[in-house]
This record gives sequence, C-alpha cells and structure tokens, in this order.
Amino acid sequence: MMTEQHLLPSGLPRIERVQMQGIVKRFPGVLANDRIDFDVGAGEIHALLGENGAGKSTLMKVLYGLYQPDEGQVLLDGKPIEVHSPTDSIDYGISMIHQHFMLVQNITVAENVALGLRSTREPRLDLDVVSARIRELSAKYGLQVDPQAVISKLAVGERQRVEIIKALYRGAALLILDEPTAVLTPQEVEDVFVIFRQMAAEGHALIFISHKLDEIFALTDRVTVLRDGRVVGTRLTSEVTKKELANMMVGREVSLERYRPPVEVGEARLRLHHVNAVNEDNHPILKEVSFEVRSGEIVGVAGVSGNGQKPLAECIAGLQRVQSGQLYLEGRELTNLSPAAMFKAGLSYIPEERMHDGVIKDFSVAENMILQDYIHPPFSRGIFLNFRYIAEHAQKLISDFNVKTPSRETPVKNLSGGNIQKLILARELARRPRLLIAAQPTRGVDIGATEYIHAQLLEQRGQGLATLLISEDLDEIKALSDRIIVLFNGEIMGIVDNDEVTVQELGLMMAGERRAPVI
Amino acid sequence: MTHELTLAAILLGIIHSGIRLATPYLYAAVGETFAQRSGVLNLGVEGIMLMGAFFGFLTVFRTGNLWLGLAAAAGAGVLMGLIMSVVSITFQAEQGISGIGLYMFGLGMSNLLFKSMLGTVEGVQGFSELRFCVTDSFCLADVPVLGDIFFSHSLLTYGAFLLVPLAAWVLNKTTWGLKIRSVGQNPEAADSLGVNVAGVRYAAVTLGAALAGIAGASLSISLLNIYQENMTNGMGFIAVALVYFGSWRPYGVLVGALLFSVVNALQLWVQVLNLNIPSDVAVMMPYVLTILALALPFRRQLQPAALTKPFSRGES
Amino acid sequence: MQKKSWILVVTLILTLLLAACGGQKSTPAEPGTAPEQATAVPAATVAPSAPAPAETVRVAVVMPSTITDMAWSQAIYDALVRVQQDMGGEGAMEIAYTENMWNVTDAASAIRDYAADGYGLVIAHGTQYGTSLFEIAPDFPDTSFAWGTAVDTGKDQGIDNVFAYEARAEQGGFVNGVLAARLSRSGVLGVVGPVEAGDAKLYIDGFVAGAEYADPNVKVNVSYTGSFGDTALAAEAANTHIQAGADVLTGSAQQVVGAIGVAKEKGVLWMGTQSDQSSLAPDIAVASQVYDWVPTIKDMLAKHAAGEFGGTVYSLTLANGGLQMVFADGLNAAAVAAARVAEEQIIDGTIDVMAIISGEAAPAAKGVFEYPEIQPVRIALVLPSTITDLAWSQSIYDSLVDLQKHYGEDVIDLAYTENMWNVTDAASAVRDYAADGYNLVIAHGAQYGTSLFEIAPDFPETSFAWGTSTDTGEAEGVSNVFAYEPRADQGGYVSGVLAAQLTKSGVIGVVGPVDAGDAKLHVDGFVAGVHAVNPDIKVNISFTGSFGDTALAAEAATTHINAGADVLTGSAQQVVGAIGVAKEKGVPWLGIQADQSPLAPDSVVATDLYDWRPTLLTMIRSQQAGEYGGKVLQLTLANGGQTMIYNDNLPADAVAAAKAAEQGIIDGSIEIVVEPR
Repeated sequence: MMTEQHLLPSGLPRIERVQMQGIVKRFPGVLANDRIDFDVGAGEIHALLGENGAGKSTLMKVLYGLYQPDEGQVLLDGKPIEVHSPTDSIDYGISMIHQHFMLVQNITVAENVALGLRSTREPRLDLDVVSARIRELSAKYGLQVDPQAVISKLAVGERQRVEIIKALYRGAALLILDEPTAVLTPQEVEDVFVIFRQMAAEGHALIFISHKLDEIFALTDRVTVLRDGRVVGTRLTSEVTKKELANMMVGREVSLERYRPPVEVGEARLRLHHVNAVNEDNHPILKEVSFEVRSGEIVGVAGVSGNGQKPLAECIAGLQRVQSGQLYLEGRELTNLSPAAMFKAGLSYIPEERMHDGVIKDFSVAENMILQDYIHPPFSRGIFLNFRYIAEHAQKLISDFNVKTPSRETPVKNLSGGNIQKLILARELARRPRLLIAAQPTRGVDIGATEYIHAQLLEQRGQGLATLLISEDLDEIKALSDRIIVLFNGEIMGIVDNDEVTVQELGLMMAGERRAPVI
Repeated sequence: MTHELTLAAILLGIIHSGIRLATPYLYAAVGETFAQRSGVLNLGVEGIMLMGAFFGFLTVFRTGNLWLGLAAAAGAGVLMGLIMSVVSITFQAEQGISGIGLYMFGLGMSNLLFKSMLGTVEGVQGFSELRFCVTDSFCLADVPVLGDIFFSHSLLTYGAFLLVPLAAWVLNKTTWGLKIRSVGQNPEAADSLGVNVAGVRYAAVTLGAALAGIAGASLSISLLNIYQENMTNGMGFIAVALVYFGSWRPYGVLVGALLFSVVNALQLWVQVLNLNIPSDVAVMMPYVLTILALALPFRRQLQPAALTKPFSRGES
Repeated sequence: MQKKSWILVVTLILTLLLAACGGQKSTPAEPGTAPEQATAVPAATVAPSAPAPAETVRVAVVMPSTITDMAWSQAIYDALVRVQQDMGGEGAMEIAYTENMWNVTDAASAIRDYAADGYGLVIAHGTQYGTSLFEIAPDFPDTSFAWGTAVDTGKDQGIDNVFAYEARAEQGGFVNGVLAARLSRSGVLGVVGPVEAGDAKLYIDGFVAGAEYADPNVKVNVSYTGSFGDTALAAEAANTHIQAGADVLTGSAQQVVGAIGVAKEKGVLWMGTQSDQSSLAPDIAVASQVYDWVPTIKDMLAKHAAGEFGGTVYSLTLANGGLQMVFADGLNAAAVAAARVAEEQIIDGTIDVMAIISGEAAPAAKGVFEYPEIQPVRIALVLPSTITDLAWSQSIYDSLVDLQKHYGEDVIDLAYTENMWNVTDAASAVRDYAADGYNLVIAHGAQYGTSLFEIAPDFPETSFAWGTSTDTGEAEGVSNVFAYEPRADQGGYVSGVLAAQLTKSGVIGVVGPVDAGDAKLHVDGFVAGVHAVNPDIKVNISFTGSFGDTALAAEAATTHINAGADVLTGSAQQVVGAIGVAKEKGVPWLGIQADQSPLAPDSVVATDLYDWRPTLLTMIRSQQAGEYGGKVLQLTLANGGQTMIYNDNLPADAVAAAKAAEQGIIDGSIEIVVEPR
C-alpha cells in the first residue's frame, strides 16, 4: 500500500519512528545491553544519558549496524529491519556521528564526504558535484566548511562540522550523535545545537548521547537514562530536574553542590614572576604572567580554550620553555628545569590529554600507577622492579580512589575516561606532592567520577595541598576555587577572590576586559 | 679496428639500459603501491614475481601465445595475492612475516614447478622490441637519439610506463581509489561510511599481486626470454623499497625506478669504461643511493597511517 | 582471535614446508617426506625405507645454486650422474643433492645431515663451505668429504677425511681468450662476471691474459654484476658490452643465461665456462670450457673404498682432461688453430697462465745475481702500505720473497705487517717482532725512525733497519740500526733522460705524493735528467699530498695531459690511478719502485725497479757476523739496488741515450745537479 510519505528538505523520506525492542548485547564477561527498549521519532531529539560504560554507545552501534544484537529487534516505521553493516544503516537513512572523529586525515573535506558514496560518473570521482552540494549545505545550516581543505589542517570544531556535513549529505533521516560536544568549546557547542534544532524542526530524528546534564536540558525533548546496561527510565526533559537525572544515572543520591570549607592558607608554594613564553613560530603565548599559589588553596585558571592555559601548565611542569621571568617552587627558583626535576621537587601534574600524556594505554593499571616512580624504592630494588610492592600499591590505590577496573592487570585502554582520570589522580596524589596542577580534570568524565574527583581535590586542599586548577568549565572553577585567575591571549586579565566575583564578571574578563589584579 | 665511444653514445646507452631495466621494477612497485596504500605491506612481491615469471614463460613455451602467457602470469599473481590476502587480511597475520612466507612459498613453488615441468633452462620468442614503422623503409626506431630512447622497446616496457599515470589516476581520481586511500589511512572511518574495508584491501592486494606477476613475466617473456630458477634475484624486495622511495605515489615510484635503473646502467658503464672504481663500489652505487633516499626524513609523514595494521571492527 | 592464530600458524608452516620441498632440500633428510620428493626429482635417491644394498655407494652434494644452472652446480651434478651410469645405475650408486645453499649455515646443516645419514662421500661444492666442513669432518671419521674450489684438505688441522678440488679455470679462460681475440672484428671483448673472486676471477683473469696474449691491442671490458643469479642485470651487462663495441662475449655463473639470450638476439658470439652452454644458443655459443669432474669423483670413490677418506687435492687442468675445450664447427680455422696451439702449450707447460696473470712471466731483464751463503734468519717487515701496492712496500717485499724462494723457507722466515700508517701502531709491531725473536726487523718508512731509536736499545741482539734515511742513530748511542736509502735520483735521472727523448710536446708531467724522502729524490733526479737533455722542456710537477689517493693521482694525470704533457711519471702506490689515465690516453708512463707494467703493458714503457736483495743480504750477513747495525746502505744503479727496465716498444735511440746516462752515473762521469724548485 502506498502512502503519502513526508519528505525531508533533502528530498529523502522521513523516518517516522524507529523502535529498538528488547535489545541484548553481550561481550565476554559483560552484559552491555540488557533488554533495552528505546525509540525515537521524526522531529524529536531524544537524549540517551548514562555514565561511561552504561551501554549507550553499544546500543547505538547496534542500531548503526556495527554490532549485531544477541536478542531483540529493530523496527523502522513498524517494519523489522536487519542492519548488518553501516552500508545497510546508511541505506535506511541512519547516520552516526562518533565520539571520536571518523575522518581520513590526509584527504580533503570533499573526499571524506564522497567516501563510500556512488559517484554521478562512476568510476570517476565527482568531487566538483560533491563540493557544490557541501557549499549548499554549509550555507543552509550555517556550517562554515571549505570542501577543498585537507582534514589534518582543520581545527577541532571544523572537523566536527565536517562530520555533521557528512551526515547531512547522506540524508540522515535519523542521526545518532555520540557525545558530539566532548571536544567542542562552549561557543562551538551552542553553534552545533542550533543546527541540531534546525534539523529536528525539518523532520529529522536525532539521538543525542551525553552525560552532560546541562546539554540534555538545553537540547533534547525526551531523555532515556541507562545504567549498567539497563534502562532506568524515560522522561520528558521538561518534566525532570537535573538532580533527578543525576540520581537516576548514578543510582544513588549525588551531590551537585560542592562545599568548600574554610581552610588555613599557608605559605606560597608556587610563584611565577613575569613569566613570558613563545611558541614554535616565536609568537608570544604567555605575557608577563605573575601569581602565586599557596598551601591549602585552590587557584582556578579560567579562560576560553587556547588562551594560554596549556602553555602555563607546561611551563610549570617543565615541558615548555620559559623565555623570560622566573618560576619558584617553595622559594627555590626552578625555571626551565626538566620535567623529571620538577616532579622531584614536588610537582604533580594531571595533564589535559589524559589518554595521550597521562597514561600509557597498553600498560596495565598497576604499571601506570608507577610511571614516574618505578625507578625509586620501594617500587624497585636495584635494577629489579619489586612486583609484590607494586601490586599492593596498585590494589590500595584502586580501592582508595574507587577506580573501577576488572583487575590491576587490565590494560588502561579498556577503562572508561572517568576511571582513567581517577587512576591518574590516585597516582599523582599518592606521591604526596607539594603542588598539583590539574588541567581539565573532569573533561569527558561522567558525573559520578566528577563528584569523586572534586571531593578528592577539596580533601587535599584541606590537608594543605596547593592546587592550580585549569578548567574551561566555569561551574567547576566556581565550585572549587579560592581565587580565580582569568587568562586572555596569554595575559592575566585579573586575579579575583571567588566569593567576590560573579560568573558574568568572569565572562567579561574571559572576553578580554582587564580588571585590577587582586592578590 | 677499435670502437670509438662518444659521450653521447654512452649517455644514450645508459638511458636505454635504464628504461629497459626499469620495466619489472615499475610493474612490481606500482602494484605494491596499491597494496600499501590500502594498508597492506606485501613483502612477498619477490615470490609473486617468480611465480608470474614461471607461469608466463611456461605458457608461452607450451602455446607460443604471448598474450596467454601474460594472462597466466597475471593469473598466478592473482592466486598469490589471494593467499596473501587471506593470511594478512582475514586472519590478520603479522604482515611482514606472512609476506616473507609468501616469498618463500613463491621461490620454492616456482623451483619445484620448474624442475618437474621444464627441468632445464630453455628459451622462447618473447615480446620483441617494437620499431614503429611508418612505411616499409622508415621506422621511428631509426631516428637518431629519439628512436633509441623512445621507439625501440618492447610492448611490456611501454605498458610499464603507461601504468604509472593510469595508477595515479585510479588512486586519485576514482571512487575506488578514494576507498583504497581511506582504508589505508583510517579504516575505522571508511568502515563507518559503509566501505567494505576487507574487500577493498583484498582487491588492492590482489591487483598489486597481478601486476607483480606481470613484472615477473616482463623478465621471462620480454626482457630475457628465458626462465631460470630465482631469476628475479631480489628485484621484488627492491620494488618494495621503491614504494617507500616514491612516497607511496606512482610518479614517485617512477622516479625511483628510473633512478635506480639508470644508476645501475651507469655502474655497468663505469666498469666497462675502466673507470678507476673498484667493481664492488660500482655495484654498491644503486643500493647506496636507495638507502640515502630512504633515509630522507619527510617520507614517514606520507606513509599510509594504517600500513601494516590489521582492521577489525569495534576495537577502539 | 585464538582460533585465527593457529590457523595462521598452520598456514605459515604449510607455506614453509612447500617452500622447503620446492627448492631447498631435494633429498630426504627425514624419512617421512621421501616418497613425494622422489617423483619430483628424477635423479634423487630411493626412499630410505627400502635400504640400499650394502655395496651401494652413497654420494651427497651440497651446492650453492641449482642442478640446472648451466654453470658451476650443474657441472658437478652432471658428472655425478655420469659416474652413476658408469657404475651401473642407481643400484650401484645413490646420489642425493641439496640446492640453493647460498646460506652457509644451512649448507653446514645439510652437510652434517648427510654425513649423519651415512653417506660415504659428501661434497660441499663451494669455497664458502670450507670452514664449516672442517668443523664437521672430524665428527664423521669414516665419511669422506670433499670441497672446492680449494687446495686445503685440512691436514694442518689434523683432518684426514677431506678431499679438496680446484678447477684451473684460467687455463680454459686463456684458450677462450685467444680464440675470442682472433674471432673479434671490433677488437673489443666483453666479460660478464658475477663477483670478482674465486673460480670466476680465475677464469676471467685467464681470459684477459689469453686475449692480450693473442692480440696486445685487443680491448677486454670486464664488468661484474655483483651477484651470481642476477640474470636481468647480466643481460643488461651484455647489452652494455655490445653497445661498447664488443662482438665476442663471455662470462660465468648461472646468471649468464641472461647474457646468452642477449648475445643470441644481437648475433654476438658467446664463450662459456663450467658447463656446455651451447644448447641455449647453438649458433652463437661457439666455445665452452667444460668442467669434467668424472675422473675426480671416481678417484675419490676409489680412495674411499680403499679406506683412504681424504687428503688428496685434485686439480682440473687441460693436461689431466678435467678441463675440456669444446669448439663449435665452422669457426674461422686459423682462430681455432691458434686456440688449439695455446691449449697444447698450456698442457706441455710452455705457457704458464698463472705466471702470465701475475706478471712473473713477463720478460724482466734482471741482471745476474749472486746469492751468498747465509745462516737461517728471521726477518720481519713493517710496511706503511700493502705488499701489493705496486710501489714502495711491494718492492721490498718482492725482493724478500725472491730471497726466500732461493734459500727456502727454512732459511728465511718472513713475517710482515701492512698498512702501518699509524706510527704508534707500527712501533708496537716493531717491538712485538723484536720480542718474538726476529733477527732483523725492518721498519720500512722514514716516519718510523724516532720510535725505532727508542725500541732498538731494548733488544741489543736484534738488528733493526729503516729508510729512507741516512741516520743509524749513532748520535743517540744506538748501535743496532741500519739505515737505507734508495738513490731514487739516479733512476729518476735516467728516466728523465728517456722522457726528454720521448716527448714531442715538450711538456712532461710528474704525479708525486708528498715532496719528501724517496719521492723528492726521484723528482729531483728526474728534472735534472730532463734538463740535461734539453733545458727548454717543461716539467710540470704536482703533488697529491697523499700516498694513497689514487683518484686524485688520476685526476692529476688527466690534468697534466690536458696541460699538454705527453710523458708522465710518478711514485707511491697512488700512481695506479695515474697509470690508468696514461693507459687510457695512450701516454707513456715511466715507473719507479715496483714493476707497474702489468697495469698497462703498453703504457709503462720503462721502470726504475728497486732491487732490495743486495741491501737485504748485506744486512743479513752483517747481523750474522755480529755487527747489528750502524751502516748506511744505499740502493744505486752501481750496486744493483736499482735496475732500469725498458719496454720493447721504445725507439732504439731513446733507449740508447738512457743507457748511456745509466753508464755515466755508474762510472761517476755524470753528476746529478739538483735544481732549486
């Protein structure tokens, strides 16, 4: 029977409703999806919320044909469909934007878009046709993308736009978004949300995977919460509170509030004196930066991404050369010392790129626990490692810091982001540092782990640790910091007392408005 | 009477020899370029060349039909390529080792077949040098200098040089070429767009192997017109090196193959001319050049990112 | 994944097995795999499950290439099959072989396997296998082993079950060379060699000698491919030779099938060696030196049966029939006749090919020399370059070897250390020799003096000698050091006179090393000689600043020629480069120190040959009379320390003028006036 189908602006038919019924997916030792029911309809943005490892990505990979379900079925507009590969799902009008970019680095935007599509003049590529269509889509959705640009030359935000273009180009009656904002700045997030809303308005169905509550509320119509492979519940977004969702996600009462008890502030642990630094192209990246961090104090560094936060952390860690100025740790000048010397002097560093700089992915949890200190007793005896002590040490940290891992011998790459971050935090704090630099400690980390990490930072503060907290999450800065430094273009716009500044004032400083330093 | 050698004659000799010697390298290395661009390092080229050389020769020896011989060589290459594909793509074996295994298989098998089917070194009438005769009395091959360089090679030599732009076109301008490049660079991304990663790699490896088979045939039924055991004598490995030398681009491979062949021709002249260079040094020249070129640092950036990395879905 | 892993392992094993079956071992080492292989290899052994009769002779051969290589390996395999036929077939003699053993370690395993398997004679058919063979042979005292090309049966190491065999490939090479030179119309011959060593080098050296013997003007271009199996490159080498004008080609090793194909295509004649290659191209493969190992193998087997398991060295020669010359019909009769005459003369000893190759047979007009009685003496030489430098070091070494030949090794014990350009190393070597009890230690360089005067007092009963110098260290109280000095100015003067007669352009070039010592003397004398004839002749002198920079010396020679020089001279080992240039440009060269004529017989028109024998004998006799040093010895024309050798192709009046100068120096009527430079 032929019915009049609604069409998308691209001319492709809409997907009125996709239903996943009783989906079960098992992996060795893990029940990733346990009888999950889920559905989404045209014009709707349906959030899939859950902590890392709750089974969100697995469910979506089943829908996209990357995994085959062990049980259950998928109905498309009421008819059961079999999706064996992305080829099938693309044929059904299902597209997916992955958490990690699925782009071929050394070819152009147009080639990435054309990959896997039939050309209008097979076997030759029709990149001119593809480029024209990309420009059309760019204009329509306000996505600034140059079809001729090579991916490896694009910024992160631009790459995300290419991913969206790829989906739009294929019609994407149903678009699965797997944590699409994880790598975007707040402004970029707002930009893509506009596009997602526009798509929904046009009749696309969207599934939005996230564990960021704010984004769920900003974007979605309905929300389904997963925990440990099961559906906890599905709600209309307008009818739930943040707190309710957080509790559903974690499975217990979680606190979104942070209590920062008064602490006796001690001596200056870190002092920067007119520090300047330049990048490889000899452009200044830090200008006349001076401040100090004292014992028992968390100093937050706020700023829009790329305004000098990373060079600042790396200067202190000995990874970036200080061009002029001095750096003191506990009164000793340690300017331009090697990272090893800085660690020895009592510095601990939680790097921004934890998978890249913080751990060795293929090493076990226990091995990653001793990355800096393996050479010193008690981890080693002479030239030999003391495996027994290393194992005990790892086991203690795993339980103390609540790291969820099958065993201490599990390779770190198999852990979730939150647990890796807990591992790094555990390792760094176990070294009893004098100064901790925590760069984006909870980015990409689920809510439960975030709560735990924040609690640990505050706990250490209570014990007199000096912490420099670098974060692009203003809520985090506000929640934890005693004083806040705002960086803009590598310069300090002001150093303010947390209790005497509003988020609005911080926002202005982050945009480059200078305020007299308050030390 | 003594033979007077002018510098021009020597240069001409070097160029002519260089072009001829480049033929097998071009087929093998361009073929290997396809395999490597798809992410598969096939070190078995040498073995495939031997099989191609043998079957090409045997077919011509038995039937006298050159085209049939060429087809047999390509067919032998296809079979060898499928073996490589099964082992390294389906079973995801370490590519370096499976390639060496394939080489030893090709070497042993071609030796065994030679003994049982031919037994002794024989000759055939292979592809002869074309002369491009416009009229009965005038042939382009007789044009001084140009004729020697451009109009007096065998069909397979022209084929080898035509293969280069063809391969560049396929890789850069066709949808299949885009798939090959993507699969060698980021198979996960290609897979997520519905590209059959294993299928593309199978096809690229097999095409490369077919060309390696033709490379072998270019020796046994075009350049030498004999078959001898292990007659490729390491050419297949040089071909693999040429792919690196050429930065995985057909035109780069062309430059490398010509440079290697011309230097090889040059070293022969160096010795013939009694230049005061020990024969060992002369013999080393092309290899030294290759090593120097391979040592250039920028090449690594051009290497397909997924080269030698097997792909299986859902691992990230 | 685990399942996949074992499938992979099985695949790889299968691959390897197939590879092994195909090419590596053609005869069972393991009983289980025998029957399949027997079908693939017609001449292979019967399965061991059916044990051979007791009287069956079992012979195994391990070879570097294949039995169908048309060359080295095929030659011995064919011989084995013929022996088998002669002995009554497979029942009487069993042949097993392993091919493609270019890897010596693999070959050693194969050799050991065969021996362990009870083979009576195991032949390791390659020079490279010797070391392993000598390790294996003692473990199987009842097995006979054989290897070649070699002349060492391991007797020195107490091994008595190894035969050695060699092919005197230079003999057939010589005959082929004679034939090739006669058949060539272009006067250019091409040689496609594998690597410059062993059997191939012998053959090629013989070929070149034969060609030049038959026609001194013939040009033999030799190229080596660097490989035994690079057929394509061999083909290209043949192409190159043809383009360079060659109309007769030869070559060796299995790679030559490629070259033969090219020869056939281009209609150029081919001469083969090792196996008869005429089947490949009957029309153009006109001559072959065929190795016939049959008598050798038969004799080994006979000895083995008689309980003599080794110790004999076999040589394939034309005389004993081990080498056979096969010529095609219809060749130019005169050319074949010349080749047959050469063959006869090699057989009856009139021609000694080795001697021609090494240059010993070249007519050298050495004066009559008296050898006095001496006691046994141990002499050590410390040399700055090598004994083959065609110059300074070789000259003294050759003289010592000549003395040793005359007196015997039991009278003169000779040791030497080469390449002692580092003076500290040389001092250690000198001290070591002295401590080791050598009677006469010669430090053959002006740079060694200082160290020598420090060492000599510690060994008062040892004689030391050094030069070029006139200082025996008497001033420092040293009494056991001789100093010697070749008066190179004398020979230089004579050469100068000759050069002045030869030059037409009035420009002469000198390629010197450094302006000091022997070289300076030579140059000084040379200039004086030239200007004694004609003060207007220009002598251009260039020093390369080095004794060994051959390339620079060649460059220097070229430069001289470009500058108009039409006669060249020079000294030190570097001059080989300059002589090459002289040869190429057809410019006469005047040599000094050692006989350089083998490099360019036509270009090296005269040589001031150093003859150290009188000096050495003086030192030996002095030492034996208890006079350990203190003498300054000179090599002069008068005392026979220098000998002038003139080439036959020189104009008679020029030689006469030179000889007159010689006489004048000897009788003192000529005084050499050194010009300031």
